[in-house]
Amino acid sequence: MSQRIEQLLNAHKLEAEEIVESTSSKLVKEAFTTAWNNLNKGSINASASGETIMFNYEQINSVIKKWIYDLEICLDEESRKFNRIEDPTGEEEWENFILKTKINDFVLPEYESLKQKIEEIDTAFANASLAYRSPLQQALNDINLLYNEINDITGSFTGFENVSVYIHGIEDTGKSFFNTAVKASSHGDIIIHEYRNGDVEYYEVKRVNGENKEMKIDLDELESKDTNNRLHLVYETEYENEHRQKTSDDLAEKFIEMGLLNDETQIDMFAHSYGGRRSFQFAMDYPDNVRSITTIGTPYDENLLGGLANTFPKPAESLKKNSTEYSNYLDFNEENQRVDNQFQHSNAYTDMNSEAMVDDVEELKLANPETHEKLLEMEITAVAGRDHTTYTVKGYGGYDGTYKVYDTSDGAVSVKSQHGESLEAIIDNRFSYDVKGEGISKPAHSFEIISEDFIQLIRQVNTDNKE
Amino acid sequence: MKKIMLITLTCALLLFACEKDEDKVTYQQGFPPENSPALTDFLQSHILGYGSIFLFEEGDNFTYAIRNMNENENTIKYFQYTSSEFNEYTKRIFSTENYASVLNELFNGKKGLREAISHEEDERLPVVTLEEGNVLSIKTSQNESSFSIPDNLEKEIEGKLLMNIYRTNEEGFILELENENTGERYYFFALHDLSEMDVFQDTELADAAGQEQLVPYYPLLEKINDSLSVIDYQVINTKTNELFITKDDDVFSEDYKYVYINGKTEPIKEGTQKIQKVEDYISGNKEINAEFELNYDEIDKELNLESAGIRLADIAYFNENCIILSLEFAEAITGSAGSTNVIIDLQEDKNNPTYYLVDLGL
Repeated sequence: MSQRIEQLLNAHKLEAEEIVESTSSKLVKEAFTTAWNNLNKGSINASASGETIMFNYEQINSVIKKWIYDLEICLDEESRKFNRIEDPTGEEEWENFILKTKINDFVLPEYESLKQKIEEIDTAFANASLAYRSPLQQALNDINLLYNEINDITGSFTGFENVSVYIHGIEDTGKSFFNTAVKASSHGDIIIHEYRNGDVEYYEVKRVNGENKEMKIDLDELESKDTNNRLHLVYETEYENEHRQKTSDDLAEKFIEMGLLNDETQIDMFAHSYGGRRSFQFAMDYPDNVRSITTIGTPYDENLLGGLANTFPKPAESLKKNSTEYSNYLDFNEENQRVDNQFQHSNAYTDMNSEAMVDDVEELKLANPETHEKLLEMEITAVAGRDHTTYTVKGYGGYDGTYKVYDTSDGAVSVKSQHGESLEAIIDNRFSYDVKGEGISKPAHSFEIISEDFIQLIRQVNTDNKE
Repeated sequence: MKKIMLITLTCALLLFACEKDEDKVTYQQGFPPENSPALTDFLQSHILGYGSIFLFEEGDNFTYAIRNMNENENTIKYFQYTSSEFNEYTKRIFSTENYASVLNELFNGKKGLREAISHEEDERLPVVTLEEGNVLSIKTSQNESSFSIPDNLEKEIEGKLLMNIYRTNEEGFILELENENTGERYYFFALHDLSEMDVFQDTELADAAGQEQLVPYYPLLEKINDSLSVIDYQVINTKTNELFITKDDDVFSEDYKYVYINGKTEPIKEGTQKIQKVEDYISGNKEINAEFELNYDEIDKELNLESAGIRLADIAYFNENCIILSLEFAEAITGSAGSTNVIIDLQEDKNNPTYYLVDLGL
């Protein structure tokens, strides 16, 4: 019986050698060597010095699962064989006991431990690759852009010279911004609503009885439209609370695919809340393509509530805030990271907790003064939404009447932060709008996106900024 | 005595309970399980969409024109489908749970539903080409002619107009012409024998009606009843030659036969919602055609949204027997707590409709 286990283990070891050879990973070799040493089957001799690491978690995991299955079958068959013996000898009973012990207490736990180690290696690889994903995506975007330019490749939307992009904040969708975009557009404009799940809808705006109405059209109908009018893109981020850098990378990819990242197209960005940071990042990455940024409710400084939700995710969950959401991005700045389920990652909450936009702008000024100069030239408007309280005075100092006291925040972000005061001359215009709200349970912050004043401002920017 | 009091109290409690039950709205989650005439109307309106112009329905056949989307598309193309083809095409909406995506796929994939037909297949379908200089070249089953839009308007039109058919019937047809640069809109009216033809800018329709210049073309309009018809997103009284639009906060139904009182308020206010027939609305009487309750807290609870309140609430579709509202709820501090559509099915009972909560992406 023991001989059968030995045969199985030898066969498994041969497969292990092949795995190590094919992955060329020292970590994988170390895991398999430890397992075989513990099983007293010697070391793994295969070389792990190949040039490229080819780690396939699913494949390795399924091989180890098959080994476990082999042993379970072996144990089952040998037990049945033993049970058929009418009167087993003491030696046969001993051999059966040894077999069971060896498989159950020795080999199977080792294989389970190996599976666990492979899973940890997978996580380590995922964390390591995540850090480089964004620079790689940016490089790929640049290559695609260059390739398209050299080969004169255009997209379905090339020709639209005036483009508006609407970017929502954290924990949000594009639905409210879509309504705002319809109201702030002009007769004949095109609106694209890109949903988080990948669905895309197209609309043409018609002016009917003095109001804008969105008429849904399909892609064929859209492609036959003239490109003289403005194109509006209501963009929903892939992950609800993704970091601004991921939004910027994805947005650039989207624009390249649509044929809109070129010298002729000028982009006006409109954003709410954290969407302002996302827009700002895109403007820093592609300053030649962005004409203006208009934000409301944006936390340009570090944000207290965002920071609290990042530090105490459980209480934040009770307010339905998903501050641990993994969004497939890792910042090199260690302060702008968190670890959840072994995965290191960065999201909107880590960003608001650890970085003020002015830090990035200062770094940009040193590293790339030309881009910093372009940011200074860009038209950037930071609007602060805030509520007010009206007090009534009767007979005080001979004065009868009411007076307003404005809140210093919109319930989530301070007016100072929304105005991006720390960004000084980068911000060209700072406005404050009255938005109705009640504390933080029903704050003005949630309703800024549909504020009539903000809609009017977007309409104005859309009209004024037209080539 | 105690016994009588106990019986009285029990009866009172029962009565109270019955009353509460009557008031309470019950919601069903998901799309209505079976098709119905009102639902088919909505699906046709939504899926065929703005790009298809409905012309007429005869027997099992629905006839449309394909909307021209730019000035270079200068003729009219017609297509047809049958109701059984449409039902077959849309049946998967009743067996999916991903309603919004399927509805969007049905919208985008409708090309196969459109079977092109020639104008020769029906006498009501004119052949019209918009030639250089915005001159219409027209051929009907009875006659042919040309018509210069600028000459008849006695004004210069810069660039080419975008031409579409607006309506046709046994008597004649109406074209809609649009200057995409300026947003100006014109309507061209013609009888099929081309004995009468005229063109008016949308802003001049009221004056033209007042001067009885539209009278020869009244038979071409879509009728609401004996005295009311529809033209240019408005209702016209063909007896008094007056045009009507709704008051600021009210909304016409898709067929202009009904008005949703305060349906344009943003967000629509909770409480009793009132629908009037357009003739009652115009005459200023208080006659209500349908009435139903709207309660955002109840909907929030039904969907377990735990929101901070309603952020958006507007009408996505409104017709006689089916109203679809679009709702979005705000979350505490920031963000969206969720969104839904509410299908209000008035087919069975206009004052006690069935409510369906389903996200159709509208």
